[in-house]
Amino acid sequence: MGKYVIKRLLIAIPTFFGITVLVYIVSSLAPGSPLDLLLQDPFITAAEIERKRIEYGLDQHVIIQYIRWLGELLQGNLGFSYRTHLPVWGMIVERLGPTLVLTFSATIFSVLVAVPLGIMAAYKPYSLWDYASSGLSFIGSATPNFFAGLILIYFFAVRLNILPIGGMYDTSGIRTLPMLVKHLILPAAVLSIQQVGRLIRQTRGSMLEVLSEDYIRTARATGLRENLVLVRHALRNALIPIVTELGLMIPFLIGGAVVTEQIFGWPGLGSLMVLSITQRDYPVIMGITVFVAVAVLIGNIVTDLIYSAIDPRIRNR
Amino acid sequence: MANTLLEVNNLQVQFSTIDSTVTAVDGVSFSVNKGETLGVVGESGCGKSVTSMAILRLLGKTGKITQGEILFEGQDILKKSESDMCQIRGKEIAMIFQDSMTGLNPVMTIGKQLIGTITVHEKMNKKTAEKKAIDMLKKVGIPSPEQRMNEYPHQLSGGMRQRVMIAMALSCNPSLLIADEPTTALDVTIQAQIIELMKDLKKTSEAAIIIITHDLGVVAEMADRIMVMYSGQVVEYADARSIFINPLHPYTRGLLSSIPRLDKDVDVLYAIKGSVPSLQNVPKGCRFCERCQDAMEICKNKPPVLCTVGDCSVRCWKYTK
Ligand SMILES: Nc1ncnc2c1ncn2[C@@H]1O[C@H](COP(=O)(O)OP(=O)(O)O)[C@@H](O)[C@H]1O
Ligand code: SF4
Ligand SMILES: [Mg+2]
Repeated sequence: MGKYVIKRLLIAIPTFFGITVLVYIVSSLAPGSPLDLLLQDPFITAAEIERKRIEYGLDQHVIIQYIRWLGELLQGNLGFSYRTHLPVWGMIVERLGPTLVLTFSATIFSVLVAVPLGIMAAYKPYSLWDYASSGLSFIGSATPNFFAGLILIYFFAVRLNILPIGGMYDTSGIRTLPMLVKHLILPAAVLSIQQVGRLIRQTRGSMLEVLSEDYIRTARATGLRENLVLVRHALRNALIPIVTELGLMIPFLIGGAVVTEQIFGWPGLGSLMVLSITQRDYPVIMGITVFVAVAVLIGNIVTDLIYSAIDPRIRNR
Repeated sequence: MANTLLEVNNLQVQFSTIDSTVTAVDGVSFSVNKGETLGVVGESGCGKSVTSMAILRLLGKTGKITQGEILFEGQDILKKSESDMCQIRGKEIAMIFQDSMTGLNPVMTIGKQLIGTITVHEKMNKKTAEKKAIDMLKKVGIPSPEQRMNEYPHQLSGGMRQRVMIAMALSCNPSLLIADEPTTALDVTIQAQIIELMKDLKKTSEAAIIIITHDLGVVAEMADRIMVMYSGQVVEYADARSIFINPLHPYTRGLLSSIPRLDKDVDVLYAIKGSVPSLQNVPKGCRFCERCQDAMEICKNKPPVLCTVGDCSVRCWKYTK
């Protein structure tokens, strides 16, 4: 088990450096330079710009520039925002909480809805029940977030007026948990719609496959009741591909969060990202990109660990 | 009749798919007395497994018992509720399957699976169940059973896994044990060991045994009676002695001469030529006709019925007066 974890971590290191190289290349290809801001000053002299260029290290070779950037990055220094002149790292930390609340609650909600639906569909395949949940799954995975968001806002916030239209708390300045939950319902629902769709399909598929395995027949032949066969023998085996699917969904979840946060004015990393892109705030864009990439990396490692906790064949490898 | 444990009468099993229905077992009748061992022999695909799964009523969603009755201790299994069947499975009738590779749950320890099986039918605390599980592992000849309890199926060899399956099947003292090709998936030396274990079981336990195999050699020393199946039907059903000394059906003779024998030095084993007819396309006469060396004109057109010759039943025109 320990060996497995170490192996996973060792693989993550070169991946991390690969990510930083990509982020650096892409952002240096993008138009504009940090000096553009200085050019807005009508009294600036060419000598002064040259002095700044040397101060920023822009006269150096691109590889030197990258290494310096990476060195700062490894010390937790992501630079300063062009827009607010605040440290990027602090801006990310401030926005992280709301994004985590949103993505985690959406994931938990999807699992709680989709896994039971998928199991029931697999238990009675080609029944009305199966068709209903398959239908739901197709609609779910085919509905774009922005569309689902607009529909839900229209019905629940505008027509029925039972849920807020956006934001994380109201403007009164008081912050309570019930208020947070009320604001969370719609964005979390929107973010989980596609997840629910994919998860229902994955659960149904892996459950159907597991139910035709020999050890299920063995379990039935011992006189175990069908519901116990499902829970004790089938579910845990079926969970293995479901966990994999959840891991694969992390990038989509983050992408979905960007759109969802924008629609609902949710004060998370996603809406900061959109704002920074429209303002060409490169340090923030780069910071968030590296941060998210590392989060995905960690998410994959956690997925692998859960996976190996479920499946002893992987653990002993 | 008080001695009869299982009686199967005219059993017919069909599988339905969207575009076709096949009859996998067609009018099979046999009985097993208490403590007796019945060998069921036939080539792959002749309906041996389907027959045994029908007895446990575990044919799945596509399989249906369309005719016949299965009396276990005098009661018709086909009339029982699903929850009564759960009481019978594992406790009264236990089963050992061919695929020891895939027959155990890969994500559960051996101990957990054994204890799970024991406690399905017997309420007992964890300690007692664990002790019993270890005893069972000892009984089937697994070395250092305490340690094996914490291991997963993939950590055991094929032979050890099959022993675990046998231990699971025996754990509730069934009165009937069905072993469906328990040695087929194993290599030869391990096969011999498992057969040895099965023979021990026959001696030490009171359970009746149905041992299913495609290899007559496996049942030679074990079975009291033998039923030979071909294409979903019984073709010969007799005392083991008379099958080996005086086989009647041409198919049985073919099977017998394809057993490797130590006392005769043969270079090439005799094998029955041709293959089993497909269930979609059953011949209208004798189903063995195409492969039979003794085939006559009548065999092509009219199916033979099972008839009695002395103590044996045989399905062949040669014995019909
Ligand atoms: N679930 C099923 N669906 C359709 N046909 C089946 C099914 N199970 C078995 N059969 C058919 O029934 C016949 C007998 O199979 P089986 O009893 O497994 O043979 P064997 O004697 O080798 O154990 C085979 O021709 C097989 O194709
Ligand atoms: S009935 Fe005819 S074809 Fe069939 S086994 Fe007997 S002799 Fe052979
Ligand atoms: Mg079989």
